[in-house]
Amino acid sequence: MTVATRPAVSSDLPAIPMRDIAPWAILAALLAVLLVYFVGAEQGAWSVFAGTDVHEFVHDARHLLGFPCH
Amino acid sequence: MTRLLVLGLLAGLLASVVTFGVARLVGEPALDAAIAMETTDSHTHATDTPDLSDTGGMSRHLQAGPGLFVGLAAVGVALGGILAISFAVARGRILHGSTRATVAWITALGFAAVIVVPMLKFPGNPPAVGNPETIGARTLAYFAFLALSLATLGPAVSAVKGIASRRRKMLIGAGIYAGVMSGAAILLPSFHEVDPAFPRDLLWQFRASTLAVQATLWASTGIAFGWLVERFGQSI
Repeated sequence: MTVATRPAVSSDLPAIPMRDIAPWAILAALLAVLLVYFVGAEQGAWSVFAGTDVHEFVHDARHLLGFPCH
Repeated sequence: MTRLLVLGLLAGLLASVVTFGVARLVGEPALDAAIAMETTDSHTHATDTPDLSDTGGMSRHLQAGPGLFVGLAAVGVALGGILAISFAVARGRILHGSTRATVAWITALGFAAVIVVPMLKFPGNPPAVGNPETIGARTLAYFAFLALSLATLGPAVSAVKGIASRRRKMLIGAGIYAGVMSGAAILLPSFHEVDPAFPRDLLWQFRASTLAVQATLWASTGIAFGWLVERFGQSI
């Protein structure tokens, strides 16, 4: 790591209040779980949609991200 | 907060473009070689080869191009969003360093807990490896291990909060985490399903490439996010 060219600003700023973060955190966590589920596991171990099209479309990403595939 | 989240999502998207390049360059050759094994050597491990493998009528071109990109982008954007939220929670509350240092800590801890540790217990398998009958048990064990890894991180960090010495803090925190995860790794089942006929160097090449793909995704999301926040996030 090189020396920062300008002073650190974050430590001067107040922490963002938890009540501002909480709704975003809940939404983001739910959406992230959903997205990762569809890329990582849909139509492998479990299926929301019938068939294998979701599995096959994200097949390479699933393998190369190291998820259990088949 | 909104701006921070937007920067996180953007960082994840940028990172998935970079990761797509690495996945094409490093991952696809191993994937293609494994698929070739599957089609030519099917007589040697007929029981290991799932029937629906491996394209289901979808062209390899579609899987290795748009499919790969959409999959990586979905995971990248999700990662960027989670990184932004974690940054918002940690900054000034748990971590008190500069923007870059805070982002670097979160990214490194997340990468270790979400990727490296689960990978040690449940490494990814290339096509032609893996018994389709155990996919349910494997997926469940994998996500359970992942969830435990994340759940242990919080208590491990808060347990060492009051300790003054930075060095001791890190050692004790890492010790708690390693203790819990080692116990879980011993208790959870292992799956030994690699056919002896499957080339070992190809298996290694594949698994190393999954690590390279994930390392690229996480590192470039962290770097992009740190840069974007320093540059455009001053008014948050």
